[in-house]
Formats: sequence, structure tokens, C-alpha cells
Amino acid sequence: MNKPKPIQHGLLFLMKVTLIHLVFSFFSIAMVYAIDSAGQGVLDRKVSIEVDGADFQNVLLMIGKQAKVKFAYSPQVIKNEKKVTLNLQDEKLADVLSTLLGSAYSYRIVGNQIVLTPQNQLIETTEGKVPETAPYVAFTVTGKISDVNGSPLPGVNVIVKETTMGTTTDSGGLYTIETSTGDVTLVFSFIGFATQEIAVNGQSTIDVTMEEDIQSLSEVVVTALGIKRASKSLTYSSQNVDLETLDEVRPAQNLVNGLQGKVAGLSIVRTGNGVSGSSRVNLRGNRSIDGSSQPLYVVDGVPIGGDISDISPDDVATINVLKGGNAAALYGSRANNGAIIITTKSGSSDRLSIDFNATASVETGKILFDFQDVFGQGVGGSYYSLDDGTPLSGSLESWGQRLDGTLVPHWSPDPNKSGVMLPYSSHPNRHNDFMQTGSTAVYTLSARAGSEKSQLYFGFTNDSRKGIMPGNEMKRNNVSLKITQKFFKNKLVLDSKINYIRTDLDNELATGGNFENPWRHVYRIPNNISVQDLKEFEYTAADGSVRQNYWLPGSNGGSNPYWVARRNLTEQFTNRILSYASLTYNFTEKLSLMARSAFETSSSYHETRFYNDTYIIAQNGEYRTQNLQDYDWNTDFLISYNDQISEDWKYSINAGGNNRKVSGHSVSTVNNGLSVPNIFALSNALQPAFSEGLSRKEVQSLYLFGQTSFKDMVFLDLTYRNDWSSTLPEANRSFGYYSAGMSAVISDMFEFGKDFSYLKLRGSIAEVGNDTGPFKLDRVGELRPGGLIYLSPVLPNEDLKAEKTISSEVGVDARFFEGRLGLDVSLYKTNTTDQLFAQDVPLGSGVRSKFLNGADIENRGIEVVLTANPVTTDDFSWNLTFNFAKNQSEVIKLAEGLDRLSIGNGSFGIRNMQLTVGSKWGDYYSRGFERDEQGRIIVADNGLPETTAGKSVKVSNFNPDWLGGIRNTLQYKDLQLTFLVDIRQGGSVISASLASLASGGFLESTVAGRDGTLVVGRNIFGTEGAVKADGSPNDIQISSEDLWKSLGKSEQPVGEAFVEDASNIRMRELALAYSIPKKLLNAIGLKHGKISVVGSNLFFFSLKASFDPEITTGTGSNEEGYEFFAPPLTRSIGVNLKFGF
Amino acid sequence: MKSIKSTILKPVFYLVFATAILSCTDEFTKVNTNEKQITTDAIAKDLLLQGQVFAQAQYASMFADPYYFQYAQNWCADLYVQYFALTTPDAEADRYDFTDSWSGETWLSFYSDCAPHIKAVEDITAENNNEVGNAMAKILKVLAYSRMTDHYGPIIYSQFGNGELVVPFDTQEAIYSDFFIQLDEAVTVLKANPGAQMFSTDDRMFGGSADKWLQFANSLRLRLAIHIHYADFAKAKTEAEKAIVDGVITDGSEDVFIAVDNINRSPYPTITAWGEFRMSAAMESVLKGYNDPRTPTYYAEAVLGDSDGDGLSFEGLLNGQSQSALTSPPNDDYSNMSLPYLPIEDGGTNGNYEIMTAAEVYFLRAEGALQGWNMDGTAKEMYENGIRASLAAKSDASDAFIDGYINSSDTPVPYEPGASALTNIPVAFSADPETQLEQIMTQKWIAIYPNGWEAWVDLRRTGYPKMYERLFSDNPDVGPAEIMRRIKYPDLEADTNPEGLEEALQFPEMQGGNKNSTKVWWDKKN
Repeated sequence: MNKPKPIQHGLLFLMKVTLIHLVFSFFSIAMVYAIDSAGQGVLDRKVSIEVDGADFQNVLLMIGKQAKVKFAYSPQVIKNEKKVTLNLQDEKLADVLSTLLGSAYSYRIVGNQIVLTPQNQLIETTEGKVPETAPYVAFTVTGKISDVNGSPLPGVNVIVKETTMGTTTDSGGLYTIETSTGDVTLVFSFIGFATQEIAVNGQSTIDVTMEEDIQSLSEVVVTALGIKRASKSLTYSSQNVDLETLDEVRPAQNLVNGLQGKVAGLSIVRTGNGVSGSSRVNLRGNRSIDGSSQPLYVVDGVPIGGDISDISPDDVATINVLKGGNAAALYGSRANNGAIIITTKSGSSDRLSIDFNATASVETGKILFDFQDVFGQGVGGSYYSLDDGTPLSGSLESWGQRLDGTLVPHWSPDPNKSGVMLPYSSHPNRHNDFMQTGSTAVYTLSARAGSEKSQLYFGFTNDSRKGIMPGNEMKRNNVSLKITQKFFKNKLVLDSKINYIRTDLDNELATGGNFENPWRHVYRIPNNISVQDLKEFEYTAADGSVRQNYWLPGSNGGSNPYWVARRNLTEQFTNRILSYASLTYNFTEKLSLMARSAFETSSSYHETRFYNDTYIIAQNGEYRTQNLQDYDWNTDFLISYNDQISEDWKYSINAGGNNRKVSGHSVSTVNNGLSVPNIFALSNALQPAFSEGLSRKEVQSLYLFGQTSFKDMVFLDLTYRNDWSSTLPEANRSFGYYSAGMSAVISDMFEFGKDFSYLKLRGSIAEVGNDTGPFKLDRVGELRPGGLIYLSPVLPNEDLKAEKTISSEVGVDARFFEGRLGLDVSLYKTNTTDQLFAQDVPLGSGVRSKFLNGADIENRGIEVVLTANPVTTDDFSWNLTFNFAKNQSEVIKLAEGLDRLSIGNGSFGIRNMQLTVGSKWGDYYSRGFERDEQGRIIVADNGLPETTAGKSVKVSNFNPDWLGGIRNTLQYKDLQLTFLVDIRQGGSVISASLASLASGGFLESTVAGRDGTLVVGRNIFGTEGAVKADGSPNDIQISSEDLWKSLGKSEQPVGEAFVEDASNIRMRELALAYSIPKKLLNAIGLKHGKISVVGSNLFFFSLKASFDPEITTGTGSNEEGYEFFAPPLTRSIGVNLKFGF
Repeated sequence: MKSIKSTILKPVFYLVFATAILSCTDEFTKVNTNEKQITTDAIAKDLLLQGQVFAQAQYASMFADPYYFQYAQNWCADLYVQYFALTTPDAEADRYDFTDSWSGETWLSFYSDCAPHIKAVEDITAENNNEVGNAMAKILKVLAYSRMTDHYGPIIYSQFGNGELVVPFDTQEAIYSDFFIQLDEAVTVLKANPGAQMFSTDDRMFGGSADKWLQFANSLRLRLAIHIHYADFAKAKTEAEKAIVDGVITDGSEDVFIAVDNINRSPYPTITAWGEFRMSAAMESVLKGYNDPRTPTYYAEAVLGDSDGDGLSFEGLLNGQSQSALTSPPNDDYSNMSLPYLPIEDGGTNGNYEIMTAAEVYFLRAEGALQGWNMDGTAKEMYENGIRASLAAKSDASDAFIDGYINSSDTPVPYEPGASALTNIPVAFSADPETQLEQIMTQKWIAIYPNGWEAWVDLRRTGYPKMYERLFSDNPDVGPAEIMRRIKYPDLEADTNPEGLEEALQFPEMQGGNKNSTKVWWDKKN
């Protein structure tokens, strides 16, 4: 074993020369979960102090800072009136304390805290302070104090509120306190946790679960690789999410949507596929042209490959958002857009606790489009053909005559409706009549149990949802079991989890211009047609076949929306398992080794059943199936060592490795029609065709990271990671990157006065490499059914190298008035360079696109988190969090000789997303008005605006100017009111719906000028002005039908006319909760109980667009800011019941 | 300290070492290879795979995928030559408005689904000294690109596949000039390899027969020569006569098809399922007037029967209907395509896709003979042979009936009472050369139905057959009585190849601009 030497030397060299002193993960925890044995060392710490007539409390603070201790005492015991004069230089803390406190007080050391108690208890009376006689002990209270995970908390202060007596818990979290009566109130306080007051009411045992206090100065956050760290040691920006209401206000569709408005710099837009929908999540802007700009999700230290939406919010203990590469550098490639770190609940170490949570809510849809209720089906202002006078009952447009109630023949092709007459009158409520009330019912049962040695958490969630679109339903069952077992005197810790999730999803909604998108058909119901008549969505034709009941049979693009909902069915189910097992061996207190293997596997089956007479799609019905198998296997090890060079210099060093194997396989069938109508079986396929998809990659990584701290005031972080990815060419497979960060707790170094509680500065720089998708190096031929080989239209690049995101950030964290006011500001800049992307090239060059390495997208911005606790009284408190983020993106570079890149040129699109060097990410180009030099619209001889031939006018950009969220929590006794106001300011959305609905005469905007009196530049687009070809002001009258048909023309709409401001302010969440008082709980044998009324998306304070600008057509990087038949705004109101025993 | 160091460092080393051993990256190349796909290297080594690439090229050369076919042919050429009239209110195509995205799809389909595959086969066969395969690829290239240039005028041809960000266009004259050179090269090889076989059944056109490819090359040469005779008479004559000498298709059994299958289907069963077009008034006028026995082969009787009271249930619709007239598509009032073209579920046959027939070749020879070229027969003989070949293939008419048809003096009739007939020419061959041309083009138009692509070339070249004036045109550049002259280049090309396109717009033949009214190079007669 001689070979190890070089490595040993290398490591020693690193340790000695660069002085990378690193704090081991559990050491950080130890700093908070104080350990008794530290006491003696504390008293030996040296303190210098020179004060003259200073406030007693300030002196304690000064001593505390120098000696790195906190003093705990009741304010009633030690008053500021006591002035102190001292001059001690370099004395031991023990001596300083004895000088300062004299005989008036005694103290006790618990971890890093010094608990002061009066030697002679002083009782305040109106006459002043008089010595009290020894208290008469009539009552003893004992109990155990633990955190939410059930771990005992040593060092918690327990004070009798009415007197001044106090104690602290021991290492097992146990306390005993003697009082004169059983009718007192105990105050439990502990740093990092919310203070609780509990009335004794004669109980002899009071166990308390302390909840972590987000605003606390010394909060613990879970960072990369699951390492817990004190937030003050972090060198980058991260934001812990307050989970308080996450399981009450059930997040719409998925867990992440519940983060909306709660994290500065996090932007979420949702797709419109109903109850199951996915979201596009973005931290600090878009940066990747071809890859993802979305963050990585990490659950219990394991990166998640699949959809995050399956995770039950009830199982989640903490969520921490690591906003940039700086925080996430250790996760490597996948985290260059930041990471969302989720920790699930663990078992408890003492008693069995069972919790039950039930939510029931109703969802209602609100369509925001401004529909007109004046004119009905037809064209040219008539419901009757100008040629032969027949009724235009098949018209897909509403350019007919005024809805005056005259009787017209029934639109239905159903022979039974022949001769039936219907009033040609308005049905303004038709959309609401169509939508159903959605519902959500979620039940969660969880249990925690265990002992010192083993802990167990079990959770079961049953979630069933019905959407506002009939037939759109989801059922999800989620079972989770987490076991932690300690062996060999706690030296070996086994941690394992298995989470099984079964999701059944019926009729996921298609989005966008897809004919299967039912909203498309709902919005286009002509005004003269009642939903009642549409409900009969099929009829039996003369030949006995069942046909769709629609006013234009065989329509290419029209359908009875009930037919789509009831006869275009999809069904999918997914079985997913997330599991891991890890072993940690603590060789010594300083050295530990963790090894872990985590599997994630999911198999899902999708099928599509379109009944016969679904227009255009297939004859006799269409049947499609798809089987998907996904697999993601992560194996890790992490070795950690922490030590200190001296009292002041501490360090930790960690080395780890990861192997990730991921693969996916899909088999799909398309059947090109059925032999026998409406029998949906593969054996009934007319011409079955199969296709198969494969994806596979492996990434190996080694990393090294460490932290050193000086006097617990200055922290330095260094990380280095090297990845080897199978997706890159051999020469470039290996790529390494680093991060470095520093933070300094200025308030521990200097004295700022008691109102300035905390000031921390931080700065970091990081580089994160990123690989690409599999199989991108060789040009291949795809075997197509029927014996054809299709050559890939993408020209690969054999010399691909890893792309890099370089990010830097600085931040300040300041707290005032004992933490009641907090301000956290981050400034960041990221550059994603060497981007891998496919560039559209001239088709004539031989391929559609070429895979390139190039492009530099820059994002810079500011994030501000303001927390305030303006009011705190015994009965009432008000907490407020304001998140603000502003991000600016810029395309710095594309590729050699390329200054414009089109990445969203859909074949029928209204828009084309382009990246232009020097411009923002996400400029949308469309057809626009031709204008003269003064910007006036030029009209043609027919009075219609001249428009550009191609999509050459920049019309919109979805990026908001800034995002904000204000969260308020008002607590009055047992009542709590929480509400979240979410603000999106700026940005614009282009709407293909508006184009389609305007050209069809459905919108209110099309009512004016149907008589042919519109003059462009005068009474329409009046603010812009318009001129004729000869330059004279436009005075040509046109009809609204001519105008909107020309502007909204299918397949080549003039997008400029259909852009709306995305700014909005909405009441995102509102929850009113009532905690059942302890007295009542005890009476019914419960530990806690809470009932809440919750609402989400309740109303807009302000909305500029005529649709919800947050809903987009898809999660692709070129679909944000593009609206096309999106679902209505969905509001939810519900009741939540939580109790535990 | 020493013991601590060894405590730390040993495990670190072991782990790093173990990781390095366990996770070697040797397998990465294999991991990153998709075994469900074929590498281009593998294709270059395997003749069978090359054959499947060739099959893809053949299928895509005809835009046979129904989605592309609709844009590339059915919503343009087929309507411009009035084989059909649109009945859907959702498209303006029949009012001469051809949207950018349809042109974009056509361009995209050709240059990504067809051209790369032709080039791959041509390049690989050249590298592997597979002369016969290379000759076949060249002939297919001429067929495919001739259709594209006839649609657009100047296109990317010689520089296709240059791998650059700027790809120059070629003038149509240069492209046609090269077509004949390519055919010369191919013909030389095939003549030297009589009876050769290549690509077997993956050759969806001729089952791998070099001899059949040779005959097709000659016939294609004749077609292309005829295309350009108003623009370059001398070259056209030379090439046409060369084709006749080398031997063209003369018998219905030699008609050229692309074999389709259940997956790679003929476009017709799908586009007829969409129900967006019906028989045109022009076709009704002519077929009824001539009492043409091909009528039921081409069209079905209208569901609502004989609505105009002329005793026949084949009903055609005038082209260029207004949107309001189509609000309820009048599909039941007019004739659909006939049963074999219909969806398979409705009894359609998904028949092989026709590329070139003996009838077409006779009409080409007739037109050549009319120019005074040596077409191995007179214009009249060739004209009548064309009609015979077509009637034999597309009807069950007896020889006696066919004789009667050829000598008939019947003329087209009004498509509905009160309307005018499309034209006044009979079938019987006239003595007047201009009438002869109209007769040849009119009979060719009927014979090559539903090949609107080729018929639109003929319409632009010769002005025949006569067409009914459209009811409406939405196109500011082309009036309802005028002929659409070309398809506009798509924005897609302006987006990705602006310099190449700009240069093409400077070509003399593009002086009319990127408009539907600009005539392509060979469009010189009218």
C-alpha cells in the first residue's frame, strides 16, 4: 500500500498550504443543538471589556459576542436600570462573569448559552425590589422538549412567567421546574425556535414540541447533499420556505406551485392541462437555449429525475431554495439553474404520534375573455346565406345578425331535430353552464414512532381531484415509509426510505391549438347556441351509426365541446417508486463516512381513445397507446472530517463521489383507424404502427468541498467537482468546476447597538458545467416502420464540450430590533456560456439544424427579502414577508457569424421567438402593422392596415420587470389569518386565442363597427393614427368583420394586434385558521388540532390582460408568454382539518 | 495527528480508488450509442440499409405524406388546374391565397425528408463505386428537384448539402441544364449494365430493375424537354429526340408508380377523409361533355344525386367560392373522389402512387411532334395513343367505344344550366395547330388526373386547358381570371438563409419579385 502516498500528500498539502478548514456538517448542527460538555471550554474563553455606566444588557451582549455565547434570562429578572462600569482585559469568561454578576446572580452553562438566574430571587413590587423568601414549592412540572422531528432539545430555557424562576432542559431534553402553584404559565424559549407559552393548568407533565423559527438568527438550513448548516455560515443566497400553510392551501396541481410568491426570484408559470398540469419553474431567469432553465429537485439528498408533482406536500418537512449555481455547485450539471431542496419528515425518537390532515375544496373556473352577447352565428351580418337564403347554422363564426330571438331552424344534424325551431337569442352564460365545479379531496394519515435507536415515519396520502372540465380527473395515492436505525452506540446509522406513488389520470387536457383541447371548442360556442342543446353530444343517424352532434359535421377544427370531453378520452396511470438506503459510519466524532444508493423508477401507461366521428382524426375511431419505463439510479459516497486548529479556527473537509445512471424506454403504438368502430383494442387496429424511444446516460462525479470558519464570524467555502459524462465526446468527457464563497457576520465583530441585531455579508463565485442529452454525437438514421430509414435532420457536433454557467453573487443579511425586522438582499450575475444548442440552418445546407457550442446568455438581478414582525403582543402578532426580484437577461453572444437565432418557429404560429445579440431573452416576433416614419399605421386602398409579410416585428417579451410577493400572517389568540399577495409587473403575452376569437367575431371588441363605420387610426387603434398610401390621414370606413378577419387570419395572424400586458396583482392564497385550544384538546385526547378555511387565486387586485397571463401552452423554453386556448382562471375555496394525537 | 491523518486518508483513498475502478468510463461510448438507430457509417457499409434510405427518398420525393401533400399539391396545384374545388371554409387556398406556412411545410418537407436522402444515396454509391445505384439516385434527384423548381423557380440545387450558413440558389435554367447532364451520366451507366439489379424491393419504383430506370430516365428527359421548349427550343428538341431514340414508356404496363404500404400510405385515403374538396365545375363540364368513361374512375356520384338536372349525378363546384358560401361545406352536393381514393375504412384501396404513365408520355410526344420534332409518330397518332392508353388504364371502355371517343365531335357542356361550357373543342383531332395544342393539353389534363403538379406546369406553359374564371381571388397579385405562376418562397428561408435568398431574388427570372405572379424561367409562352 505505497500508492496512497501521493494522494495523502496531496490532501495534506491542500490542508496545510491553502488552510482549507472545513466545518463538518453535524458540527454545524451541534452549534445549535448545544452540547453540555462544551461548557468548560466556554468559561475559559478570553474576554476584554471596558465600559463606563453601560446598560447591563448591552454589556451582556458585548461579552456574548466576544465569547461566542448567548445569555438567556428573563427580562423581568435583569433590568437595564442596572448600570455597569468595568475594565477587564483578556480575562477568562468565568472571571468576568463573577465580577459582573457578583452575588446577585448565578449562572449555568448549557451548550453555548449562559442561563442567568437571580441568586436571591427578586420580586418586583410597587415599592421596588425586595428580596423574596425562598419560594414555597407546591407544584412540580416535568416534561420533555423535542423538535418537530422528535429529537430531544437540550438547553431549552423554561421560565415561569409569573415569577422569574427558570431552568433549562438536560441533554435528553428533560426538565423539571418547581412552582408555588399549578396556575402559572411556562415560557419555553430556545434559540432558533419559536418561543411558546403554555398554561400549566394543574398539569404535572408538559411535553413541548418546539417549532423552528424562520426568522431566527441562527436558523439551520439544509443545503446541497443534505448537509445542514447554520444559515449564518452560508456564503450564497438561499431561501427557506415557510411551510406553514403548504398542506392547508393545497398547491394547485403540484408541490412547487405552492412556492409561488414565497421565494424571491422564483417564477412559475403553469400549463393548461387541468388537474395534473405541469409548471415551468425558473430561478433567476432563463439561460439555456436548448436545455432546461428549470431547477433541480432534490428530495432527502437525492436528485429527482421525474416529475416533482407526485411528492405529497404532507410528507415535506422543509423546503429550501438554492437559487444559483453558487449554492448548487455540488450537484453539478443538473443544478446550474439552482436547486429546490426538499426534506421529508422523519420518525420521532420518543412517543408515537399520529397526525391526520383532511382538505376538501371546490374549484370554479372564470373565463376572462370579454365575449360579446349581441350577434350570433353567420357572416356578413346575416344568419342567412346571401346566395340562396339558407340559414348558416353551420357557421363557425359569429358575424351574423343581432340576436333578436326570432325562431330559426335547429342547428343539429340529428334527424329528430329536423323541423325544430330555436330562438336566435343570446346565451351569455354558456361558458359557465359548460364548466363544472371542480373538487379536491385530500386525506393524509401519518405516524411517527421510535426510540433513541430507531425512528420511523409512515405517511399515506390519498388525493382525488376533479377539474372544471368534465372528465378531467386524477387520483393519487402516495405511501411513504422512512426508517432510521442506529447501531453500535450510534456509530452506524442506517437511513432508508421507500415512497410508492400511484397516479391515475383521466383525460389530461390537451393545450394550445390542438383540436383535442376542449377549451378551444368551449370558447368558440356561438352565442345563439345553448349548452343545454350541446349536452346531447351524440345522436343516432339514419344508418344506425352514432354521430357527433355538432352544427358543422366533419369540421376541420370545430367540435362539440362535450364530445371532446366525453368521446376523446385519454387514460394514464403511473407507478413510481422513489427509494434510497444510506449507511453512515461515524468513526469518531470528527470523521464519518456515508454511502447511499437511491433508485427512482417509474412505469406508466397512456392510452388515447377517440370515438368514431371525431372529426379529421380517424375513421371508426382512433386508438393510441404508450408504455414508458424510466429509471434513475444514483450511488453516492461522502466522507467528512471536521476538526479545529485552534479554538478560533475550525474546518471541515469532505470528499464524495456520485455515479448516476439514467435510462428511459418507450414503446408507442398508433393504429391509423379501427376495423370495428369504437372497439379500442390493438387487435382491432387497422394499420398499427409502432415506435420506440430510448434515452440513456451515465455521469460519474468526484467532488471535494470544505469550509473553514474563524471565530464563527468569518466563513470560507470552497468546492471542486469533476464530472465525466457519457454524452460528450471522449476528449471532452471530463470537466471540472469550482465554487468559492465567503461570509462574514459583521455584527459579531463590531458593536452596532442593540437595535441592530445582525449583519452578515456574503459573496461567492461559482462555475457549473453541464453536459447534454444522450446520442448527440453521431448523425443517425432512424428506422421507420415500413422499411424506410430517415436521416436525422440535426447535424451533430463531434467536438461538443460541456457548457458552463458562471455565476457570482453578493448579499447582505441584516436584522434589526431583535430580528423583528430583517432585510436580505442579493445581487447576482450569471453567464451561461459554451451553450449547446441546435441552430436552425438553411435547409439547403443539408440539415435542419446544426448542434453548436457557443452562446452566452447573461442574467443579472437583485433579490430582496424583507421580513417584519411589526406587532407582537401577548394576544396579537403580525408577521410579514415581502419578496422582490428583478432579473434582466441579455444575449451576449450566439455563435460565430450568428447574431439572431430563432427557437420557436411553430409551423402555424402567431409568433417566432428569437434571441438577438444585445437584446433580452425571449423576444417574440410576429406580423405587425406597416407604419410610416411617425409610427402611424399605413392603410391600403381598402382601408385595412397594411401588415408585414413575415414575422418581422418585435411585439412582445414575457419577462416581467419584477416579481413580488407579500405574505402576511396575523395571529390573534387562536386565530390566524394568512394571505399572500402575488405581484407580476411588466412583460407581455401574445395571445393566439384573441386572434382566433376576434377573427370569429366572438369578442366584445368586434361589436363596434359591424355596420362598416370603423376607420383605422380614428375609432380603432385611434391612439396610433393611420395614413393612406399617399400620406393623407385615413378616412376609409371598413367593417369590423373585415378588419378582424384580416388581423386574426388563421395561420398568419397579425400578432401585434393581440399582445397584452402580463402585469397582475392577485390574492394568491388566503387562509383563516383556528387552533383548537389546549384545554379543549386535552379534553378530547388530542395533541393538536386546527381547522382552516383556505382559498387560492381568489381575485385580482389588478389585471391588464383578458386571460390569466400565468398560464401558458407548455413548459418548453419557447412557450412562455404564449397563450393559446388556455383554460380559465381557476379559483379554489376549501376547508382543512388537521389534528394529531 | 498522525493517526488521525491515516484514519481520514485511508478511507478516502480506498473510496476514490474503488470509485475509479468501479466506474470506468470505457463503456461510455457504448452507453451513448442508441442501438435502435443506425449510424451513417453503418449505412455506408450496408447495401440493404442504403436501399431503405433510397425508399425514404422516393416516398418523400412525391410529398406522399398526407400532411405535406395537402400543402404541397392539394391546396395549390390541384386547385389551380381545377381538378377540385375547395369546400372547406377554413382555407383561402382556392381563392389563390397560399399562406406562408404551407409553403414553409413544402420547403421543409423537401429539404429535410427528401433531398438529404437522395444526396446520401448518391454520395455513398459514388464512394462505393456502385455505379448502378448511383445512376438510380441521379434519376430520382432529377425527378424530385424538377418538381421543386417547377413550383418555385430558382431553388437550392447544386449547392444542397454544402453544410454552410449561406446556401446559394441556382437559376432554373442552370438547374434544367444540369438535369440533362445528370440524366446523360445515368443513362450511360444503365445502358452499360443491362439487366442489372440494385436495391431490390427497397426500390419502391422499379423493384431494382436498371432497365426500367433507364426507360424512366428517357421518359423523364422527354417530360423535362417539353417543359422548356418555349424557353430553349433548341435544347428541348435535342433532348426530346434523344429520349425517343433511347426508348420511352409506351405501354400501360410500364406506368411508373411508387409502391405504398399500410404505414407509408398514398396521401389520398387520408386527405379524402378530411372532406375538404370536391370535383370542380371544369371537370364536370369536360367529362360530361365528352361522355367520358373515366368519370366514375375519377369521381363518385354526389350524395344528393343529380342536383342540376342534367341526368348525371357527377357534380362539380366552381372554384374560388366565398367563405360564406362554404359556411356549411356543401360536400353532399358535389362529387367526391371515387371509391379507390377514399379512406380505407370506406372502401378505399390505398393504391400505388402514380408518377408517370404511358398516356402522359404519348401526350408529351404529341406536343413535341406539334413542334415539328421527330417523335417517332405524328402529333395526331401520339394524341390518339395517349387517349387510348389512358382509357385502357382508367376505364373499362371497349375498343369500339374508344374509337368512337377519339373521333367524337362532342364538346364540353355547361356545368349547370345557364353556365357556359369550359371550352368548345371536341376530342376529334383538329386541323388547327393552336386547337391541336389545346386538345392535347386538355386530354393530357384528363389523362394524368389527379397529378395536379404536372398539370399546373402544363397550364402555365401552354395556357391550356382553359379554366373557369374563379369566383374570388384573395391574392392581390393574381386576379380570379389569371393563372397562379409560382409558389412564394417561405419566410423560413428568409429566416435561415437570407443571403442565399437575396441573391436568388436578383436572378433575371425573379425580376417580378417573390410573388405568385412572377413567371418561372420556362414560362415563356403567354
